[in-house]
Amino acid sequence: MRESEVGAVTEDAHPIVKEFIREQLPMIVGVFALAIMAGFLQNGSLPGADRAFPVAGVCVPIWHLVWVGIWTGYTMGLVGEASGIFSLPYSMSILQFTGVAVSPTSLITTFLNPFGALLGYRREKQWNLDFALWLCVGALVGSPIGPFIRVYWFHDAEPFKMVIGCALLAMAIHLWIQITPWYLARTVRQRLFKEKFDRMKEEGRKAGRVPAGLPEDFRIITLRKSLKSVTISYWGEEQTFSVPLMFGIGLFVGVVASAMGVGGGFMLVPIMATIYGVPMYVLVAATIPFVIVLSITGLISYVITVPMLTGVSASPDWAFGLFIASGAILGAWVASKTQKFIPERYLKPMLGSITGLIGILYIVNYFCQLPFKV
Amino acid sequence: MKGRIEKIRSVGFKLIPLLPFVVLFLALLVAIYHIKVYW
Repeated sequence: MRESEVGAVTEDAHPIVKEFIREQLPMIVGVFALAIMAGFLQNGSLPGADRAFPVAGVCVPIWHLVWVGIWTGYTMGLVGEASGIFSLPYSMSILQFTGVAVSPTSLITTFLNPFGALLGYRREKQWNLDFALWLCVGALVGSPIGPFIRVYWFHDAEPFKMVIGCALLAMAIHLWIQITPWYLARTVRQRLFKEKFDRMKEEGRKAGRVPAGLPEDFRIITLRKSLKSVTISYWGEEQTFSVPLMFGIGLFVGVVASAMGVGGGFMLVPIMATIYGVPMYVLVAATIPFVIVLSITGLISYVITVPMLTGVSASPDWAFGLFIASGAILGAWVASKTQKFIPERYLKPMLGSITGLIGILYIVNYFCQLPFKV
Repeated sequence: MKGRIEKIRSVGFKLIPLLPFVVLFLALLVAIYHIKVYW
């Protein structure tokens, strides 16, 4: 009797362990193995603490790169974004990787980072390609342009850090605003969705069920689609999106994000949340494919188009990026599993304060040199 | 046995909200370590 009871209890936890072993672990190990191969191919031996990474030109232990991936993937995953906007400034300021190659290297991470979460979101039916399509088409057109801006106008570290500083400051403001009553009132759909979700969680808890994700019947369904608009439905809500506006947003974010070497989630999430008030649980259906498309097209532009048309080499440090990516996949997956249990009230202001402080330091340092390195 | 596992699980769920703060603190420590050793 007691054994069967134990079996019943472990059965509850089993799907997550099974999911990790079947889906995440092969991906993490595969990317890590690719990083080792890339290190040998690019350098002739494995770079790390004693041997500098060939393109980055810095010595850093491999465990540190994996850790950077884990913590940036995790913390950014909690606020629904890819790790790039944290791992990029960390790579520049702490790891001292300041060349142009830091941007395409970061794009390797932002390309692979969302795959861990993607499988989980797809299983939970947080998935609709009609909703994501026009944002992705915009990214497809915009992201090959960004790398040219980076190579021509922001190839020096200081002005580039200033641009990153502005992005971090904007992100900090958005994180802080998200907990204000004004924003909560503005994003009614988000609030209603959260209240509904919390009610369901509470009912489940009272019924003695283990806290889980979205309900079984959750779906993001396309109701209508044309070249003018797309209408989707989720959990009793209906929402229409303008196709030209979605394309324009994708294009704009594509240009800016690929120039910086980040996934663009830090811009797309606030824009979509402010214009349309889409709940985060639904927005991921668009942001995850968007970040993947933006990152790969931006990366191709850095590796092929830019050198071909300008003669400037902007190849990434593959091993450096892949080691971070292997950790970021794990971090993003853990974030997707724990996100619903983290109180946003404390997390968002804290992350907002950190990003805001770094952003201000970068901007100030551009106009007047600080007495310490940033 | 079941009760004990349930207890561990409920404590575990209570600790999840602390995870981001622990992760960020560790990130800070590792960054300081890197600056001291490699700069």
